[in-house]
Amino acid sequence: MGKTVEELNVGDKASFTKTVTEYDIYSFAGVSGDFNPSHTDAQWAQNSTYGKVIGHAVLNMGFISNVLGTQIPGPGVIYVRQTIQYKRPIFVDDTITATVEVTQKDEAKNRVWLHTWTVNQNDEIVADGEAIMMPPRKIKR
Amino acid sequence: MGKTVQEMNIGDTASFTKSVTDYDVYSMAGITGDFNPAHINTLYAVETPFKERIAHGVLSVSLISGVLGTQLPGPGVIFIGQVCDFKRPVYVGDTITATVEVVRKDEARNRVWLRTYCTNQRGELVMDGEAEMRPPRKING
Repeated sequence: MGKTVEELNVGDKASFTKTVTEYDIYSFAGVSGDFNPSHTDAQWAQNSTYGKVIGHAVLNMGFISNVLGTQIPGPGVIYVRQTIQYKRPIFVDDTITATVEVTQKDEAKNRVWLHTWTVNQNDEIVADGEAIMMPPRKIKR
Repeated sequence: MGKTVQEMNIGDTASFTKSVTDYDVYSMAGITGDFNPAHINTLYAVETPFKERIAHGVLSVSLISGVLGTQLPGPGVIFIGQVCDFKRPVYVGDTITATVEVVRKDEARNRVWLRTYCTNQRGELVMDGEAEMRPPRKING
């Protein structure tokens, strides 16, 4: 079980790092139906803004969701809202670190606000945003 | 190539419908590393308020990404930002329709804002939000 609103404190942080491969991009296309050629057509991508295939922007949210759902607050959490700004593309073989940090909490309403962002291996911000979460409540024993 | 800001009009809509299967949920866990037991542990899930495993919230967002990236605006678009409010859980077997609708555009800055939402087979809203997009520019010649 994850952390309750009482157990979470402003400044608490957690992160997850993953190197993005073609597997991830093609699997994500297969799950979502998002076969935008920027992600799955190397020929097309050569003539695009970035000159090569890029990962789906929503991958960033996937990594953030991972940290929120498995670490802070962790299992039992309910995802209320995510805002996200995409700053840079993800390229194949980029190593992305997603971090979440508690910025505010409201014990009466059982809500936590977290700054959520991703960086690449050059420490450049790839995506930046905020999540609102409803942490798990203590189980009655 | 997708639609330019000039070719898009307020009220334009596009959508994509998909039935969510275990394949999708387990693939999303594998891609993102989000092995929150709410998504991949049936024994845990029966003890939760939802009573069964639910899909990742990001799965709904990925269907939205598909519509934005392949239909409206379509290929060549650059994702600027998104807001996602998660309203209801998505269960395995649910049929989710992701819809995007142009609500505002700024030709000078080459930006389009779309309402983005997902409904299930009962027409219930499972996710609601907004996307800010930079549509593709006309290719010279």
